[in-house]
Amino acid sequence: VNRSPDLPGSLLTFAAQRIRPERSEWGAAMLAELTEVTDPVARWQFALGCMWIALFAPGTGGLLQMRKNTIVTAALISTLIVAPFLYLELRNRPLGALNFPYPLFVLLWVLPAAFVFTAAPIVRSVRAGQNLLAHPILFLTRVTFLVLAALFWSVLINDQMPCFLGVPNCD
Amino acid sequence: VQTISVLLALAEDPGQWRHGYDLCQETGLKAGSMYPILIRLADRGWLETSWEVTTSPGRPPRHLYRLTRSGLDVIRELGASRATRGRARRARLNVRLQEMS
Repeated sequence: VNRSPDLPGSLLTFAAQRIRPERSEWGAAMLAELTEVTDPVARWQFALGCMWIALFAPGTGGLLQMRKNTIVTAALISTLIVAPFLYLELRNRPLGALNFPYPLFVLLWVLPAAFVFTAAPIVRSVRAGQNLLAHPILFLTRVTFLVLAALFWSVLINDQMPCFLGVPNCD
Repeated sequence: VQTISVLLALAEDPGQWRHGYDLCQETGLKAGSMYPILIRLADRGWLETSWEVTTSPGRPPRHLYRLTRSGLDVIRELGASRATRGRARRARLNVRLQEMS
């Protein structure tokens, strides 16, 4: 009996479980079809193709569609948070300046966006009255990431605040 | 072009139920291209879907596909318009050859 883990099957199962209920027939169809693919390479190709559809393909009820609102919300909140610091920085250095800290602002934008995106499932669960500890490892991983992201962002802001305020030789 | 190749593969034997992976192999399309096409065809009512009734032990029932009557009509219209375009192209070519000669 072959007891080696079926990674393509597991990944596709994970993806198929995230298809909207009205499209779940297609997830089951792809999973059933994968059982017929025996060649390891073809199996990976088939599973990855199906995962792509399940998670991202438009019009098939993929995961990304369900979270489109969250992504937009995260991007908006992040932009609003970073905007004041960008304004302060632009008062000291124009956008095209050689020493303009582009990487810093990308990081300052990405961290709050990732924070909102990670926190959204927790907020949804709380609103729906679900038990947050139903998946304790996932919950703890999310909380750990949230704490670390918030800490890192605070440290960055604290460190760069003199530059935002126009203190000479702040770098 | 990919959708047409799937339609043509299904039209080869319209009464026959087909499997998704078999269609992938026949058309040379990857699963990532095949299933969105099948989903769209089914949404438009051109494709009928069903589940296998009898399955091998330990295997889940497979999803089956075949063209509906409107799917077959689409194929016929497609064939007719292709034939018309082909005839027009041949006529233009003949005119050009006559001009050249």
